Amino acid sequence: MGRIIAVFLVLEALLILFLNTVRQDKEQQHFDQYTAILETAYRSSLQMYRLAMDMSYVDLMSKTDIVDLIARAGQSDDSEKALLRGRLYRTLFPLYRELQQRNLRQLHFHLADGTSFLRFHQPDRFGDSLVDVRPSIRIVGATRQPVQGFEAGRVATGFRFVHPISRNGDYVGSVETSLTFKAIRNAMAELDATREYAFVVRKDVVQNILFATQSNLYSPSPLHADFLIEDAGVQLADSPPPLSDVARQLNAELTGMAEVNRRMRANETFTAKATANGVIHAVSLLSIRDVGGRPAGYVISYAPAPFAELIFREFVASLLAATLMLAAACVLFARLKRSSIDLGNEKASLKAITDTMADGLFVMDNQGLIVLANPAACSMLGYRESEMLGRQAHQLFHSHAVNEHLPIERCPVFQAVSRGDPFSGEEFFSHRDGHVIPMEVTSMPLVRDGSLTGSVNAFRDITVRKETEQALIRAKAAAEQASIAKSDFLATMSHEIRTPMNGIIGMTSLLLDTPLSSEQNYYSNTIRISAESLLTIINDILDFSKMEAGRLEFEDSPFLLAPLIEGVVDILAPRAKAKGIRLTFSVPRTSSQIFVSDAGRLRQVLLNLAGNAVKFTEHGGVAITVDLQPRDEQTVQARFTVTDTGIGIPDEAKTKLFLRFSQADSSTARKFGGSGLGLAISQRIVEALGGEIGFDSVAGQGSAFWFRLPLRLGGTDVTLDHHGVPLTGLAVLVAIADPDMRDLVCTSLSQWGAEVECVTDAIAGLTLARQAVQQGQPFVAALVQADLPGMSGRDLAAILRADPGMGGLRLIMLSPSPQDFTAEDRRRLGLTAVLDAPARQSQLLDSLMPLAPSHSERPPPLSAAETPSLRILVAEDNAINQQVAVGLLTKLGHRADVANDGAEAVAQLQEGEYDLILMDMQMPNMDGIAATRAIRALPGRTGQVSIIAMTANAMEDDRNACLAAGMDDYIAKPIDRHRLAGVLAQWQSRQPHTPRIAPAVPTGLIDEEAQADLRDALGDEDFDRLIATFEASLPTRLETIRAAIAAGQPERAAAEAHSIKGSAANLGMVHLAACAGSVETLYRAKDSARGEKAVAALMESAAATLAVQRHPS
Amino acid sequence: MDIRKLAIAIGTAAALTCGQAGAETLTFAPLPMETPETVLKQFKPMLAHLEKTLNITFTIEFSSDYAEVLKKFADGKVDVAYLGPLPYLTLRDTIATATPLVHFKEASGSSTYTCAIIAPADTAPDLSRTKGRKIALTQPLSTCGYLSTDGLLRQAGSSLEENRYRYLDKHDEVALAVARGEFDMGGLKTAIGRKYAHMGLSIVAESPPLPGFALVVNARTVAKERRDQLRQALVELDPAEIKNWGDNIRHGAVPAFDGDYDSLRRLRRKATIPGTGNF
Repeated sequence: MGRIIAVFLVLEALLILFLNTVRQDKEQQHFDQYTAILETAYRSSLQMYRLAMDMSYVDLMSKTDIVDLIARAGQSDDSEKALLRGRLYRTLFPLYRELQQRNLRQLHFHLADGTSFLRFHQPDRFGDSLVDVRPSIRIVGATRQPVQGFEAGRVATGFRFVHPISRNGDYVGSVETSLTFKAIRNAMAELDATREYAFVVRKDVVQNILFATQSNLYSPSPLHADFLIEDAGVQLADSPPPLSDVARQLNAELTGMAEVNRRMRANETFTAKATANGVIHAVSLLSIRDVGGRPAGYVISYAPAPFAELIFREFVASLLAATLMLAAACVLFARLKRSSIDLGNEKASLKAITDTMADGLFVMDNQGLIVLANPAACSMLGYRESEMLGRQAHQLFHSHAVNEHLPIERCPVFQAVSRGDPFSGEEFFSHRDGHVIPMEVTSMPLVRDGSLTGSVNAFRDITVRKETEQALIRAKAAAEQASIAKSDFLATMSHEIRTPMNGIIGMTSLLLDTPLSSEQNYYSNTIRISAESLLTIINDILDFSKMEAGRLEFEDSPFLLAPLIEGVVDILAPRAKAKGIRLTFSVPRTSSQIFVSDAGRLRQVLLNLAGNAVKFTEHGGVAITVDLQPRDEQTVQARFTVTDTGIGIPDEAKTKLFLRFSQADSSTARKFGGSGLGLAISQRIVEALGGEIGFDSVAGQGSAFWFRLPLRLGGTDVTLDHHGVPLTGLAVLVAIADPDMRDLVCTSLSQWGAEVECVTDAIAGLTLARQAVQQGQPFVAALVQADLPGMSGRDLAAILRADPGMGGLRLIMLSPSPQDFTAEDRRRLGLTAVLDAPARQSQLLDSLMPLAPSHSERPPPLSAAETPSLRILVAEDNAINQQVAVGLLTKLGHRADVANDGAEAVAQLQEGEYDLILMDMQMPNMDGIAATRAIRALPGRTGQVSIIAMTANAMEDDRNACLAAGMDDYIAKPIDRHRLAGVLAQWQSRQPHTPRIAPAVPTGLIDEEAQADLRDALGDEDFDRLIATFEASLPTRLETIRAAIAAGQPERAAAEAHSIKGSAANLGMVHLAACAGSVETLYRAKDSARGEKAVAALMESAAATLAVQRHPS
Repeated sequence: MDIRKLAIAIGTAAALTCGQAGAETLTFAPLPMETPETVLKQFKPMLAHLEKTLNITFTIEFSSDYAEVLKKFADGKVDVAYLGPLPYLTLRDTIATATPLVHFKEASGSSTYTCAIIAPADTAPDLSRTKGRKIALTQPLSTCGYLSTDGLLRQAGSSLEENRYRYLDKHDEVALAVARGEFDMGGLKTAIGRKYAHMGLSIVAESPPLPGFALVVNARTVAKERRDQLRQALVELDPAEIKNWGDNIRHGAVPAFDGDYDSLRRLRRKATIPGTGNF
């Protein structure tokens, strides 16, 4: 940088010098013009006066008396001379005045001998010899020719015009006039008024000549010490005006200039530049020579020189511009230098990088020739750099046996970069020794100025990676094999374990249903409990294995929260009751909406946590609470908390609580049992559902286990298939005095779609019920609190039951002590159910759901007591399981046959008529899947028989396989009686073929015992009135049925039949009730054909019953 | 440049450079109507000499005419004046303390001078019969002006009033005017008339010797001792030293006395001098 600055300064100095020289030249040329102009003006002025002088002279010479006078004077004595002088003075004084007016300073006559005869301008001086001091006079005397020019005189200086005076050819003297500088100045001023003029005379020219008295007329010139100014004080009238301030300033400046000094001393004619008042002036000095040719003085002009200013400005501008350009050039150069240095550094860095990088790098040109190869490339390929440079890369190491000596034209790398595209991939390069190495190659084309110049190629040895890849592939295959093996193991184990468990639990259940001694009962119960515990442990292990294998599945289903919790409580309630501890739960009001999640898994977690709480609590109680907080429009954050007053968890055990196979300590495990997997599984489940689980516990005081997770809200399109169908359109009367209970029940029913009327006492309830009947919109169900104030719930129920118009009304009693209602009470009051008060929502739903009109499309699932007996084929190879299944089915009132394998099942089905097949999955010869497919392939209704899989494999894949094969449903082993009953009921009612009418119509028309009970309850009078009322209304009701059928209103016919059925059943007219029931069923099923027959049967039964009633036998 | 300003400047400069606290400062009045440059050239060397010799300071007071000079003298504003004889007499008439110090000698060395009437040499006029002629005069208060010319004419039996006369101010101008033929005669200082003899002029009448120009001091403002010092200094001038002084004062000086002016008094008694010419 220093050097550049130095170069800049040097160049700048040269530039200044150059430009200044140019400026000075220009100035000089410009100022030379001023000099020329001054010279021209001066000479022109002189010439003008010369001409005038010449004329005056001619005029003078024409005066002969003057000439004679001069001639005589030259030869006269002093006294005559005096007279002649006086006369001459007198004669020519007017001429002299005139000359003066024309700025002619002097009129001087000389005699032939060169003496002064008469000075008109200074008459007192005369007689002095002028020859020595006045060259002009001498020259005129010698040459007899006029002489003109500057000449200093004894009196003053001037521009002389000396003419000879001759008389008859004889030189008698001369006459001169002298032009003042003022005259010259005025004449020059007329030519150029912009200038100011001055005149200085050389000191040596004047000093020796002047009369002493005249010396005060001269003062030193401020311009130069060798020069004098004449009459600076303007004493003489014919002196020019004094110099202006500007001229004086200019003189002052010039005085200080050595160059001016030198040139004036050398008597050079020149123009100098000076400044006055900030304006540049040209001061031109014209050297004047006297008549003798000696330098006599200077005519000086002062003129503004605006152009000089321009020249100067031009110089400044040029200098500035040039300086800027120079500076820019220097800056650019500096940058270039720096860039060059940076480039050099970068190159060095790049070289260092390429040299040290572990990957091979080579650069090739457009022909594929190597122009650069880094040490790593050389090393990997076994070449020296010199052996690589200039060689074609492809030929050198990319054409070998592995790629069948691929020519360069088909080399994918070369093709790509030749197109200007990058390349990335795996290639084989051959080492110098011939072995081939797998390489990962990356190539980028090199483009310079838009043209392809080659490519940069990087490669690395991927041998190790390849081997690793292979190893990984093999490991993955092994892992997959292991996973498959594990899954198969799990499936097999699941089946192998569940099958005997099925036998144990099933058989134990059957055993407990037989009469047993207390000891036997105890032993059997113990076996059952142990088996159930073992099953729980096995399920946990299998679940955990599934989790480990990543096979834990979740399935979303809509559910209601309260029933879920209630279900858990129901399962644990017996255990809690046996231990004498409380088991309570609370769910928020807002929990009555439908949620979507894996309800089963939720239940599993709750069951685990609550089960542990019950297990580890000896005193106090366990509380399950649910808290819901809105999360967003579609989800809520649900927090489930299970709080107990149990043994608590010591601090040292807290950290390993959720670890598998760990319990608080081994003594706890021994005391309380369990697999130790429950919490671990619960944690996995909760976390998989997007939640978290935790606990707080104080040893000896109790624990609070909680988990929270998001629950998705079910949309309007979500309906609950199995656990609570909205009670849309169901008209319900609620008579509950307790405001909280009433509120809860009415709100829940409303939310489920029921049309609810709520009353606080029995009378209001009765009034509403009768009004509804009168309006033709009777209530379908009534929820009655047992302990109503005033008229009790029992009484209300009795009155409602006795009202024939409310024969169809289902009565549900809510009692804090349901056990107070005996079977006899229930029968007499016609109670559909007696529920605990406060009622559980699940119980309410279960009781009311079947009554909802939305169920009208399919027949309400018949209770177990109402399920008709089915012919069921059990396909099971295991003898014990066969026995279990058959035993359970028989208990449920069905008929069961067995088949030992799938083939037998298919054959038996074809031979007999079965309502349903229970198909085991794994059987020899033909398994369940194959048998199902075979059955489904059978023609007609045989092939459409309901097939329920019995499977120990609860995995989704297996279940899907069952369904895909054509099975209708599945039940997991070990088979639970209730679940079996539920599934059977479900599938029995969904049978496409005609549901059997069951049970068979009883032979007796009247249930006399029932009638007797009713009579006891109501009293004879009321009973008879009730019978009479029913009998009176029956014909009308039957007519209503007929009319409805005729009008094509089967629903109305079914409703009326339903009403008749209820009333008849309440009054003990069982046959009539049964027939009405058949009509109802058939018309609900829109089976008009059979309905007509049923109606006919109904008519007959009505007639027969009435006849018997009137005339009892 | 304004003459007065220059004078003040010069005077102040002179006072500053020469005057110290306690040094006497005297005011000098030169001839009226002279340019300051001329005055300086004439008198500066003399004044410088006196300042140096006597350790005093001079300031110069310029005036435009004799009347002003006389008034300033009377007012005490002027201490020393350079006066011709008639102006001295006029001054002395009103101020008795006007005291002549020295007479400056003529070029001839004499301390007196004469006035003359000149005419062209070839005319040779008869002064007794000079009537109606044009006569050039210098100025009213010039001794060689009206006073002497009229006196000489009266002596010849004529008078200026019988002729036409005009004031031309300067003696030289009178001579040249006569030489030019613009006037028939002229009254001027004899020396000057003689100076222009070469112009064909001759002296036709000459007055008796009259006292020359003098340095007149104001005895009221200048102490006797100082006056004596001044006189002494001027009388004992070294000719070599004074040769570059002004023309009128470079020939030396002699002590002057009031009695020197008696002849002029007599001349003056007889004439009343008009202030302007009569044509």
